Amino acid sequence: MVHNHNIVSAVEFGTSKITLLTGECTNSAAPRIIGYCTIPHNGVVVKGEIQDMEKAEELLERAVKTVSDDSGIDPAEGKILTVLVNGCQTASRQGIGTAKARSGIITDDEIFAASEEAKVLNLAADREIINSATTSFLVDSRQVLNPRGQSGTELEIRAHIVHAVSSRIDNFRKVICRCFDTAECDVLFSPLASDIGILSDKERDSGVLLVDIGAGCTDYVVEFKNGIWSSGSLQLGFEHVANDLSIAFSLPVNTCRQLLANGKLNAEIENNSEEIECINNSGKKIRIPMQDILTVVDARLEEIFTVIKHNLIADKVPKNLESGGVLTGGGAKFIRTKEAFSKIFELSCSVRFPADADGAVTEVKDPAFSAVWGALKFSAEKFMQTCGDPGSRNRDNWHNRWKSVVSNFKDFWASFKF
Amino acid sequence: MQKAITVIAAGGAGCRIMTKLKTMPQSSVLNLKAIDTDRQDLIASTLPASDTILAAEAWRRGKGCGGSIIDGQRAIASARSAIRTMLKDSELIFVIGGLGGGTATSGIPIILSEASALHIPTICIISMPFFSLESKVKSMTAEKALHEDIFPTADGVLALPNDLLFAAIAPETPIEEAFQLADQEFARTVLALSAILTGGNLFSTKLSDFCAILNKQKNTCAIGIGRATADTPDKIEKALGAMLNSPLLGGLDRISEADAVIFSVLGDASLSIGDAKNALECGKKLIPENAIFMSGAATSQHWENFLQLSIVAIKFDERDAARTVLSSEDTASLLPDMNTSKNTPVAPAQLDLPLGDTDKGIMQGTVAVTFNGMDLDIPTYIRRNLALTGAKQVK
Repeated sequence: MVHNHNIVSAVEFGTSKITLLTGECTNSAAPRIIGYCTIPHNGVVVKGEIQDMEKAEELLERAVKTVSDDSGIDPAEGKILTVLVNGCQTASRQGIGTAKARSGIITDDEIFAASEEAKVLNLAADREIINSATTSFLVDSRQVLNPRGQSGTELEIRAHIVHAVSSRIDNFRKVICRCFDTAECDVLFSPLASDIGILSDKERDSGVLLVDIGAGCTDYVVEFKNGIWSSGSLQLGFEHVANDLSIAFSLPVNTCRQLLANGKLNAEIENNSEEIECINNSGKKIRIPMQDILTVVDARLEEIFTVIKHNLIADKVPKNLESGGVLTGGGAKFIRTKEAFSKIFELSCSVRFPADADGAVTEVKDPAFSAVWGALKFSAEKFMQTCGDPGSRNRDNWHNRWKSVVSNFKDFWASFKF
Repeated sequence: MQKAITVIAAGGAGCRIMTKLKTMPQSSVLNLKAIDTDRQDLIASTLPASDTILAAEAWRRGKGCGGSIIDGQRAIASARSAIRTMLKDSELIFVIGGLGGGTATSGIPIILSEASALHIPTICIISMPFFSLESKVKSMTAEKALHEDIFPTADGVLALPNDLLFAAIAPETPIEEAFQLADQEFARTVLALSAILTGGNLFSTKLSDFCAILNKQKNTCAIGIGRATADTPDKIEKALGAMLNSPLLGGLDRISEADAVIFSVLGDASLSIGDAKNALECGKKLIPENAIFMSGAATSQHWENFLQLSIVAIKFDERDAARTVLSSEDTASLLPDMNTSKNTPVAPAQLDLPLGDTDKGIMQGTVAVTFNGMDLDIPTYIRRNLALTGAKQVK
């Protein structure tokens, strides 16, 4: 077994699979993937919530062992570990914090104080803040890109705050901590992870809507002028599409999942097939009109996007998102998803995958792994901040400044082409 | 010993209520504070400058925030440390204001978060915009703030729709006078609640019970206040009559439809136990059998020579109906002492299980995803009645 202390990992408890991604931090832009394991499951995680702790632990232990055997590196030895969440009644909102600069110059102390104040939210006692990302800085009411070193008397920070129900988040932490034998892990809201994973700075600046449609949940985030304007997660996804098909045509739900996931339905649509043959719940062979299937599927997809659109309107998201829409997640591979997206949001749409994922593992270059790739990048950046560079910032200060990750990635990405 | 109760007003409507409260001698036992972005409102509140915070003075120049939520949030957020200092010695905080504008809508949640950080219980008494007079956006803003920002943090919330004024005040009443009356009733309610929650020397209402009811479900409330001079022979009847005609009560129907009622009797040292009992029994007769009834009675030299009856009729939000069914056992636990005879066995309520008549497939039994009242786990094509040709069996 090779001992390497630059190891970071990311874990995603998805509705259809548990994924562990392990990487090595290098001085280059993104971490190098050295280990990967994805284990399909059925019902261990539903709608972003763990249903069976023991089974989840067992699956993750298997994943750790697989990565360890395949790569010769034990992921549990890694220092930084990030787990993705998107259920847990996660919600987000904008917070505002201010700090007076007594010296007349904005320093790290004022930035830290204002950031902390922005996180003082009136949350119910059972909730906790899991991520916060600075969206804009104002020095004496004047918007600036970077307040550090600016002359002024008052700094105001607006931050995008993500909070969730503590007890449900703890379930994820417990499983992770038992399997990795560690006392702590970082929790990252899935849409933010997808954002880190596949968006570029240019898109963040000009405005972009990212939708990550998975099996159990659909996540979205809007970036505008390098700040997160809105983010959220709906407990709706391709499991609902499969369920609708199953109910409509009395098909086993696994048959519907396979139709959607293995590209069979895509192929039939592209071939303009008029009917699809399947075996129904009674074991009889049936022919389903393609028009019926598309009616059921399109209605569900359009509804998911309509709910997101409703939330974006409530958050007063600007209409002029110049970079349009980016679609990712396992559901993005289904061709009708893109059409439904463009129809509802009236935006151009591109399907994206982690193109910059580097290393021995190529399976990760798939839309289904955008979020976990983003989480690995997050882990790597945190590692560089806390362990890699002696001049890096204090770990506690850094801990909840998700935005600082993005800022630092900007430097990396300046010379990096997608 | 009198507890340190702070009443803090936020925004223009809050300051107007504070003006009324300040003129009432009984408010001398309360710490009265106000925060606003408008200097004129604070001056009008007649509070000393040391008891007020003019938020973001340099930026807003004391001219308010023009109804802007984001400006209000920025302004009040910049005064967090001043708010914390102002509240830190309190044992109970009443936060008052009117939702729908900029300062109170965004400022009240910040005040609540500071109180929460100081571990001080809070009761929020707020007025909601006129649905029929003001813009829909204002109403929606108020509703959103109430449900998303205020209910989760405040220990108790009483939301008072301004529209109740139409129900009880004659149409020819000048609007200025109507608002004055509303502010006065509002202020008297604050006094009544603070008195029974903290100084109910005859029958007191436990703060924890009070908060438990208000937190059980989201609600709107109606408030009735009736006063009579203490030396009048039929003072109970007079006070009761005045209470039922109170402008913010909205008529007797509000009481008969209430899910919970808080009734209080306040008077001077001459208030006898018989008078208090008589008043409480009269109050109890007004309320529906199934409603939760909480009562309190207090005497003090500050209530010299008059009797005040107060009623807060609370109607739970119907949107939380499912939650009520699930938590009705908790509610029932409050009933035997308050509303039923100890000798009468209380039959457990038959709960209606919300059985769905539509197949949800694998989503059955999972946490339902709802949107605009629709259960999104039910297939979309079913909810939209989309026509399908149907599958054909292969022979």
